[in-house]
Amino acid sequence: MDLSRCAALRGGAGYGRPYEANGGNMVIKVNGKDVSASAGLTVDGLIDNRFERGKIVVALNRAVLPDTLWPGTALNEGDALEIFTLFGGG
Amino acid sequence: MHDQFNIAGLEIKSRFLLGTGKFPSNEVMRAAIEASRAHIVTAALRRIDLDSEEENILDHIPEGLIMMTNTSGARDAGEAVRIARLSRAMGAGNWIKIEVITDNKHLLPDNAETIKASAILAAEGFIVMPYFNPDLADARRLRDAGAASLMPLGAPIGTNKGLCTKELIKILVAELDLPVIVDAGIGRPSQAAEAMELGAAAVLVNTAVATAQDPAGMAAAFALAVEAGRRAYLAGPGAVSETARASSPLTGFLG
Repeated sequence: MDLSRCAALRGGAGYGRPYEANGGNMVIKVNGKDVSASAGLTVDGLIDNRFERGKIVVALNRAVLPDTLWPGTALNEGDALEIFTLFGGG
Repeated sequence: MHDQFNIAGLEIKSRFLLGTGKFPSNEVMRAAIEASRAHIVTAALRRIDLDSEEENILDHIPEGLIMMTNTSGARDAGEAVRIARLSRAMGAGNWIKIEVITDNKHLLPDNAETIKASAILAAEGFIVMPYFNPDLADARRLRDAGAASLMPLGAPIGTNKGLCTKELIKILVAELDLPVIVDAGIGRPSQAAEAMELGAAAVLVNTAVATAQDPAGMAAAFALAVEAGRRAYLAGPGAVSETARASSPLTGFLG
């Protein structure tokens, strides 16, 4: 999956940077799409500066994950991470 | 004249609530919000599309407004509750418009699931604003579930058909003490004024403003119409008569 066009990445230092340091060795789902990542990657490491903190909310395997828990939560093979934000709506 | 409008004990400075969907650009949306003088605006929570260039709208909402997240996309009470909890965890506050839709053709709300979600979220401290089909028994159930207002539809979402549910909304206004906010279907400022003349506490509009040729101009027109309708309601319209009644004296002129 190509993350380089993700709106949330635009302008950030993390723009387009992949999640794997030495070639990904696990696959997780981010918003329904398969993403290759290094084992041991935390939610905080994944969010990094790719997404605008304070304007997103994260769910791991459908449970809300408060931002205080991001640094201590390592991702595992097959995990489903969801990143939400607000869009226009009535 | 100070005509105070409270929801959940908070003074709301405008009886015109504006949705943020369907605007041609964030700049146009911001101009329309400013022209509307709305105090409450709505937004939707969605997963970020990693392939999309869509921008976050939060940078384009003026400061000092109440952001009310809707639960659009929810197909049952459980999904609505999840969206509300996610929204609060993001820091978007306690205001939640409950919208549960199981019918993809008419986009009419599912009252039974809406009542369930209202009870759960009110117990969790949310300010619950349920969007529903204007049914009196269900309105009472929503009140008992802890709803802070009632948001009956005027017509199906996005149709601009106006107050198709007028008689039912009149009953809700007469029978319940909660603020009645007509949501969905209002297509013209005159229809918003009509809702306010009936005694609605407020109206929520999105499509009619966002899809106008000049959204900011239309937002300003709606704000005036809502104010006019409210003043007319407070002034107490004269009675309707079946037969003509002269407004000038008919005697004493020609002898």
